[in-house]
Amino acid sequence: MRGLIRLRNPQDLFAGLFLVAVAILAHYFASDLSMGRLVRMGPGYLPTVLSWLLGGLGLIIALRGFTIDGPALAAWAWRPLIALSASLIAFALLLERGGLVIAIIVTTQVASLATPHHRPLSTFLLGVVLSAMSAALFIGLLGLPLTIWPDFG
Amino acid sequence: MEALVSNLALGFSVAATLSNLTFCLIGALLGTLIGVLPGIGPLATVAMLLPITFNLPPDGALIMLAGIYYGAQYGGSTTAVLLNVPGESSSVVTALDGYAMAQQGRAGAALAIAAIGSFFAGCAATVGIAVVGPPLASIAQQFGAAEYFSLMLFGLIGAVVMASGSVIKAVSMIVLGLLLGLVGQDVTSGASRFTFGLPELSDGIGFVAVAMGLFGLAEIMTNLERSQGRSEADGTVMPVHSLMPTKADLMTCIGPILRGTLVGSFLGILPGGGAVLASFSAYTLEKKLAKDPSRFGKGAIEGVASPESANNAAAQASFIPLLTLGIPSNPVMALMIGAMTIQGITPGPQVMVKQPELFWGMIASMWLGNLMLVIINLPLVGIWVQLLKVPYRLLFPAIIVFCAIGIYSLNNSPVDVLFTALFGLLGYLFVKLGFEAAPLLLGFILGPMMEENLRRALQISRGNLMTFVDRPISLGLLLATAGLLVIVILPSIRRGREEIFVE
Repeated sequence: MRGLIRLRNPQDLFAGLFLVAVAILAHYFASDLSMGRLVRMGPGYLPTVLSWLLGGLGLIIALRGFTIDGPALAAWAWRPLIALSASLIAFALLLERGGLVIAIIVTTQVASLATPHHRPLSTFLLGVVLSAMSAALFIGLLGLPLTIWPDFG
Repeated sequence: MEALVSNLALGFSVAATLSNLTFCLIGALLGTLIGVLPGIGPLATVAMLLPITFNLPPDGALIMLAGIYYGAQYGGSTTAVLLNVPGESSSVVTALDGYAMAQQGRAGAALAIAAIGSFFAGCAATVGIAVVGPPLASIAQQFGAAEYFSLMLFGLIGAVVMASGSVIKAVSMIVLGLLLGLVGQDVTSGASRFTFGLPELSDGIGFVAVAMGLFGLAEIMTNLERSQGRSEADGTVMPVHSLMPTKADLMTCIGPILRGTLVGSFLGILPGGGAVLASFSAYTLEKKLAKDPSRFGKGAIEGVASPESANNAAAQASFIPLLTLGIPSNPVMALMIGAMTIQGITPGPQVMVKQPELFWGMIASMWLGNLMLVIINLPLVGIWVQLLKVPYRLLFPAIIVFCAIGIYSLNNSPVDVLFTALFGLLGYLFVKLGFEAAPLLLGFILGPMMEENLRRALQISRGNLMTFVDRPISLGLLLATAGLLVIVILPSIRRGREEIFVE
């Protein structure tokens, strides 16, 4: 019994604070919507009620950070996190402008940066194989309206 | 009885058409293909393969999705036995004795008994659905808005109670899911909620983006994180020699398969039950019943037969609340609801009445799907073994590409791909903060339906909240929900008190 307040469960503290933050945002963005009454609920009724509920739960969880022992905050693996998100963003940006082949080759290269064992050449071959397969499967067989090559016209 | 036979006959006439058989086969194959990949469970598999079914006719789409689900589960067991990497929590127990058997050179027997057990369980559960379905649906047809609201609340809380981990965190995930489900145009008033002026959000957040991000993408991220320290070779795949189990094996397994099927069918119906709980309970039961419990974990074939039967029975039985009540008992069923909604089907008791060919066709296809799994998987086991040898550094970029194309193809919208990335990040954040994403998905899917029923119930009762308590079925469901909550919260209160006393 050293101090009265001691952080014992950092994971829960941050988890709770995260929920409280989301609840405050939700409450703010729901505040323009009309509440209505129980008999005829407006569009804002449930969002407001749920944001209060979420905020309350978040507060309890955050307080548990000081009452119940729990795990520390785990370290983040930034590498896969950034590489995979970036690969999807690249795909979203490239598909319509650059066509399927370029989108796939860039996406696989960016995604494979997620592991330190990546090998650009074999990933490139993978991209080529995947492009051919996707073109045959999604455009040839399923008839999706995708372009294969960039449109230079 | 007569009705049962004629219903099943109708079902088989739908399911046995060439196109539906093909969808079922493709689903089972694709499900196994993805499910066999280490670290990717049925939920992630179904989430990632959802888009390919959306251009199909409704019955074909649902038949294929169901096939993907069993295929994924079966694939997970293969990985558990051969690689000791359970792809999902329901095959954790299979890995215990399955991998031990593989080390003794009996991988083939383990895989075969898993297939036989699953097939038997699948057959039994299919008949179970056909028997239990109609009476349940006819009860549910009398439900009004108040009963539906209470039922959904019960389903949500039930799912949380069964899930492992912290109850309060799971409940907050439900609330967050409900909030996310409200995004988009309000059906009643037409007002835009949380759309931030983005036209892409006016129909709500796409559930495929949510599911694929939270489960598919986040799962790959955590897999990569786990393997970062490790070198290239992930582990050795056990060789498969003979597939035939001995006669003695078969005789030992009759009891475990029967018991596993019973346990699984029962637990599968309960909200939050499903495959995980079923396989754990079945394994524990066998261990208790065994004359020599010490054999378990060292390659006891009962330790494979029973949980595998149980998880397949449970997977199938979890379709009962989905098809008769429109309530998902686990996150995979929540995805099925999403898929049904996209196909223009409102899940619930009216499906059986209005679209009997869809309902019974799906049930018949479950049986056919299980048969196909036995037929395709045992001979194809060699291919799955080869697949397990492909290095992960080549597998995951390929998975990402297929996910991206799939999600784009839903609405031909790059924004959906961006949302998937966003939910992938969110899913990773949840893992780090100790949240489970499954309750969020359930809340997200049920949210709009709950709001609709809540509003309608209160409109009918002229704003009187007592309507939920005055109606007996609704009251019963609410009491059951409260009971569940009390059961789970009590021990943690006690534990909390003990902690304080220790201080």
